[in-house]
Amino acid sequence: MERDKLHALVAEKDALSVYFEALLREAPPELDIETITAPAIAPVAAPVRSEGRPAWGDETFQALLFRVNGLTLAVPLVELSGVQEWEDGKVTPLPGHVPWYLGLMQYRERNVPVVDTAQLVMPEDRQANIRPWQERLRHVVFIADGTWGLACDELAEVVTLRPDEVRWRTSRTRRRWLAGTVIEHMCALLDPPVFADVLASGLEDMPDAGTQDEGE
Amino acid sequence: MNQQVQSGNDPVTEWVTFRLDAEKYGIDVMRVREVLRNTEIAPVPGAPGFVLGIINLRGNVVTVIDTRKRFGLAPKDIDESSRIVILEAGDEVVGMLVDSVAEVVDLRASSIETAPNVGNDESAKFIQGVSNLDDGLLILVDLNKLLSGEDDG
Repeated sequence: MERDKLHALVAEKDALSVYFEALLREAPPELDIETITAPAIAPVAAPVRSEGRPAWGDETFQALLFRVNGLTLAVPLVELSGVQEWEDGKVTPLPGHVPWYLGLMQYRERNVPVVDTAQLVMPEDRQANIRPWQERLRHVVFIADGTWGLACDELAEVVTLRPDEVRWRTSRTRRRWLAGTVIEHMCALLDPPVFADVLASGLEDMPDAGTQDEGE
Repeated sequence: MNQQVQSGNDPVTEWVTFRLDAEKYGIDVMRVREVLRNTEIAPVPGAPGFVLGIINLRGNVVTVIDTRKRFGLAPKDIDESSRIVILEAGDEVVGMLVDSVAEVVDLRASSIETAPNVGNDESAKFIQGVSNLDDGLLILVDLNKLLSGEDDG
């Protein structure tokens, strides 16, 4: 039944919903339509880090919603360092960079790397549909004690979430930055410290770095 | 490596700055031999993509690098502001075509920040560090990596 609901959702929304549906599928076993082919015994092997619900998710928390190329993301306020408006010329591009790395921006008297969030979180088959960042970006959301800037298209509201409103991921082998999904707001909930870690080192999460997904 | 002027525990280094698009870059002044106005550059068939060609510098053949291409920037026509920065790279002499050459700046070691690592990492490939100037960020170029030729840009 859950599956039918999801398919109905796909019919209503545009192709972006397909991605969100995929994110949902990753969360709880009951939504995983691939369970038939999955091993009968759930593996208990734990990733080194980014496993389970982050500490801030143990109680009711607030999160800022923002949008990247039509996809809504949520960042918990407790892990949010700040937000600045995007201004042309404020980000200095660096040579030889990957396309999603936009450059350095002054924030709290530091040069902080800013990334195009859409290029990082959208699946590979949707990358071609991402509009040029020059046409989209309006704000930069800073995380990890202001050491990384996530450029986004628009800010939405701040919402209060109870832990049971989030479909927390239990293990994260890919998209480690995704803590869970919030169906009510149709958004993906970020785990900012892990996102920062992925940005600095986690190549397995980067676009074009592999197509394996968890739950297989 | 740089000409260092001791100033307490905060040595000062000198950097020649040049521009590509709106960005300002710095290279170690001790590696810069001279700066030329544009001169005729002869293409070299079969050379790596970022090699623009060669010039005749007082009887010596000098390879000229297309810095914009090396940095992954869009091409730009050579104009009045364009300069070829002649550099010493080990035993060789190499030229870098840049949009313009600005000035020589002194930087205290404490004002140079390491460029943050991103991914594994393409972004820091040619970058030695960054420093905040009054008119914006100065990107310090690691010439050894720039001239290594490991990547044809």
